[in-house]
Amino acid sequence: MKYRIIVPLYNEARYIKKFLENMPSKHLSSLILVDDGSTDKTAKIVKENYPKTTLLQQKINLGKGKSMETGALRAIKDKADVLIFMDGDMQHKPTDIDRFLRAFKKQRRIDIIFGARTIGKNMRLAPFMGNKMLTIIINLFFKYFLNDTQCGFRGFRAKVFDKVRWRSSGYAAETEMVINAARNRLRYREISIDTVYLDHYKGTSIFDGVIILAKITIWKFFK
Amino acid sequence: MNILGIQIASIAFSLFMIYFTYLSYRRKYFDMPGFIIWTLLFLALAIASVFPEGLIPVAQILKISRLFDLFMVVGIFFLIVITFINFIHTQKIKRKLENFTQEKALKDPHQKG
Repeated sequence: MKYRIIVPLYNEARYIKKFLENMPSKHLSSLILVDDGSTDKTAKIVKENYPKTTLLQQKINLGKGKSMETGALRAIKDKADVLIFMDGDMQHKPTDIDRFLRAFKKQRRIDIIFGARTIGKNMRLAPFMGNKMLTIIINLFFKYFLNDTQCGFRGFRAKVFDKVRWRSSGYAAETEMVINAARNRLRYREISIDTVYLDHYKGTSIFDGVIILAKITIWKFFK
Repeated sequence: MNILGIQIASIAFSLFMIYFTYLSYRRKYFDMPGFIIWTLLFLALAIASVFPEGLIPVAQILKISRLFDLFMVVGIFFLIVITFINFIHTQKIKRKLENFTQEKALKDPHQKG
């Protein structure tokens, strides 16, 4: 089973080296790192220290959703069977990748696997509440019962890419992916993962949460 | 003929915008048709500000009692149209930029291994 691990990066110079050091060496050649117009030394660090990985450089900052799409398109071009997405800010543990791969190997009927963070643990109150609210709304609107719809650690089989493909350029992409999976009744499962929050000022803000909420409502009634 | 303060402000605004339009044309921000359209528009605003009575028949047809209200209604419609056109153009440019950036990233990957 050929797989690709897609990691969108934006100004991750602080964490990228450690993230790649923690990555089991067997996965390095499967990594597709998408630098989303970083203004720091993210791309330089990757180029100099990890030539085995594939680095795609978006010269202009397009947002996480577009970076994920660029990585996915490369993975499809590489004829990967499974695409796995994770964050490059040390939030997700590279050792969990094998759990995703094992699940895809064992459960051939499963189309998509979502990481589910232990909500509440290590998470501040505002993101916790926001995450919970969005998850409940998606569960109710789309009858797709997940514990964590906002987790960026997830994977799907390449054959369902067209069914889950998102148009959102920002953080709403992950939610759109869930909704597309729900609409197409893709078979899913969840894997509980550990999360570490090192940088509280990055990631989804309250403002992003409001935009995602508005988009969920639009997708429910007009998509 | 008594000229109100708002008329003076409107004429000054129109003249400033005609100058700004000319400046933008000289800087090649837009071409001749764009220059003519915008100049005519601000010229029309200046003329309407000097001779507002000329618009009274239009206001009567539209059942608008005050000329000032007519200006407000036309102004709001104009703003909505311009905002909509701007939105369409921004979306088009955004999509083109996204496609171009993604294609370039996919075309020139950095991989030595």
